[in-house]
Amino acid sequence: MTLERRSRQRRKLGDLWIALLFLLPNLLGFMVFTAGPVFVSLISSFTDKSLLVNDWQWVGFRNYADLAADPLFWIFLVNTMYMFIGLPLGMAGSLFMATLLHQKIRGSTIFRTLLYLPSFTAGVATMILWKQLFNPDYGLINSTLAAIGVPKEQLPQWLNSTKNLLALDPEKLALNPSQWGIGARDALVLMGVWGAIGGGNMLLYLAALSNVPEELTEAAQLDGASGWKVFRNITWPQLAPTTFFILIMSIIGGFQGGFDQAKVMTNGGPANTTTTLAFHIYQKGFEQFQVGYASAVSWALFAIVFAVTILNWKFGNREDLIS
Amino acid sequence: MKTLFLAVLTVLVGFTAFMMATVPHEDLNGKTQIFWSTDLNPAREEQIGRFEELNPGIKVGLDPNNGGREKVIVQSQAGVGPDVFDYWGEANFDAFVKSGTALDLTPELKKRGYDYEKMVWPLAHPWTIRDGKVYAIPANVGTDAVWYYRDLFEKAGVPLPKDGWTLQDFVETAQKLTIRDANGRATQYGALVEVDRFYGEWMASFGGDLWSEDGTECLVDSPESIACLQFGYDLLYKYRVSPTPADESSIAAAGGWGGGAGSMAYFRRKVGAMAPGGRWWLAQLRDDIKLRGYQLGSVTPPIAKYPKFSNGGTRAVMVNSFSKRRKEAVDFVMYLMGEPYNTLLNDQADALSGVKASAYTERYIKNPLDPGAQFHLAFRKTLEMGVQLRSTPFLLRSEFEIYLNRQVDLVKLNQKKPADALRDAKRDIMAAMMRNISRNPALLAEYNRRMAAKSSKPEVSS
Repeated sequence: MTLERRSRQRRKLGDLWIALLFLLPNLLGFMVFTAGPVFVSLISSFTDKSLLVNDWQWVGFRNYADLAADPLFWIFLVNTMYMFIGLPLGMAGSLFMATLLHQKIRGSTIFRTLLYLPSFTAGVATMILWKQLFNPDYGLINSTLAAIGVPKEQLPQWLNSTKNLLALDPEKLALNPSQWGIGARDALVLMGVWGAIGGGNMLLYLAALSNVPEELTEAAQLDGASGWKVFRNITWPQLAPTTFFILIMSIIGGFQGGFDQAKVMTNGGPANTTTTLAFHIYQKGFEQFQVGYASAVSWALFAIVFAVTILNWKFGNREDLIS
Repeated sequence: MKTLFLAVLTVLVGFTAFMMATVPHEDLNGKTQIFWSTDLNPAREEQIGRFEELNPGIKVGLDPNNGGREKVIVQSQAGVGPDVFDYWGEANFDAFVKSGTALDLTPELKKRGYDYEKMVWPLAHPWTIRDGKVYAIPANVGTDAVWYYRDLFEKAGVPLPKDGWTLQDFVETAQKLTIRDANGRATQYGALVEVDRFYGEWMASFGGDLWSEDGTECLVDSPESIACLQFGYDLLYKYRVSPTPADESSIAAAGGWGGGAGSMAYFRRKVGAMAPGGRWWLAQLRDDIKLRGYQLGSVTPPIAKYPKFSNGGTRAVMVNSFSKRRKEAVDFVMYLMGEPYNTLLNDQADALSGVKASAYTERYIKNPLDPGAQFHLAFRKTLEMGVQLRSTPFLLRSEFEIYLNRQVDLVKLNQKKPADALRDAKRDIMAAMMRNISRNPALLAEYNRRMAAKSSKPEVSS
């Protein structure tokens, strides 16, 4: 009996080693390329480490105090959060598209592929294309607006303008009525909505729609419920966990976003209005080589994302949603 | 299942080993290969070819995808950077020297008998020399003269511009050359000037500068600096002789081959009759002259107050101090000081050669590749008037530019008056400088030393 148990234990131990052996390549990659840098960046955030100087000093929380006192950090945080304007639009668009694609019609696979195309296309290529579309004089968008009668002086200047729908001042955290209009930030929001509608969110909604029990909708229809009522009272509640998941992921992605667009389309301008925190981290770390400070901004961003996620989790009533 | 997993693992490891063993290696025939991180200008091929003829034991590979400050410094720290690399601008020079990526070339220059400061254009010195040490050799020295279309001038009945002309002459000429359609939309601009570039390039001519001599005070709000930005603004919004940002939205921001060529792209399409631009534009304009019969001329930039222009710099080449092939890399940059390279570069018109003497030859004026052309002289004359604006050791140029560019952007977009914008730029720049100083004890000590020296200066009485 004891021998049998020992041999079983030996076999289990052997299995464990084999399992670890197979996990090792991935684990090593994770340790070296993800966990390691994350840990190093945490340590760096408490130092004055710079790529321009070989030695570094421990500075405690000074980087965090500096960023809290730096008006640019707050302006860039607002720039980042401005992009959330597109979030409900993108989600609503994804749901709308998913609902259309869920219909049992011929060629639905082709439509699904076509609508998912933005996600296949290389981001930089798409951004260059949008840059052309936004050209105030020759771009397709303004040409179309002009063709339908919008006066030339009222055409949006898109990437060339600091104006925005919330009338935010480009230089300080304040509202400035003269800044109301459509500008670079809105151009990026519009492009983001376009990308979000046909992307992964649409697929998630499509999968969730397939899981809505047909007997529920059929029962409601038999009782005489209209299409809208079925959607409002049956489908929408069933989609709540997916909606919650998409919302959380979009907010996290939103806080981390804006780098590609700034690098490819605007270089953070005009007047820094499209500089998001992700682009700011890049500028500080790799253009000004203040690695310590850039790490502090990264961890501040992490803290903000974490706090917002906790709030969402707490007030999003997720238990009801998940149950 | 366990056996299957092990078998798969063994096969994969085996395949990897096989692939690694059979990777094709380039046969270098005993040569040492170095890599040059530079742009993709077609002129590089001939420049490398000439070097390899003179140095048969060295092969030079082009690495156009790994240029730029961030990549070079980070790769070099990791031990995989290029052996030699190009850069443009003081911000990059600062970063490479401070990070220890740049090798001090002074001893090698002395050994080979080159008197760098005498031989090389003064305009290149601030971007290649730090604390008396030479860290880079110019691959070329660039300066912007003003290109123009002779035929457009003739068509409009406007006399061709002459060296020594003033900014007032420039505006009047540009106004005569600006053509608008019935809707008021310009079909041809008199000049293609970008406000931010104008501000940087004409600042010295207005008598302004970016920093005080001791680097402790930013001077962007001086009357001269404001007048310069105001003039750039007026070209767009008052005189309307140059396109606004809306017209030039596709213009790239960075310099060098294939970038920063926004106004060149417009100029090549004859959207404007004049444009400040470099001699290196000829790399593309030569095709236009040959294929489209363009009739081009060039003239020195119009003068505001003083005949000096901060409109140039050098594309210089450094040796990576982390390079494992340092000797060969040094041989390569020393080739840039020699006659074969400088004559070739002047023929190619890839800006001007870094070595002054090469531009004072008959061959420079009568370039064999441009028979009959008369546009080379203006670039040499402009280079003679070239100066660099001052910088400060207390704030990185890249950080300085974030604050300055934000304000210049607002002026360019017609949202702020130049005087207000530059006043705010100075406020932000000085605040950033003080934050930077407070973080670095060595900088603080140096700042205090300079401030003390300033306050102890005897007052000059009239």
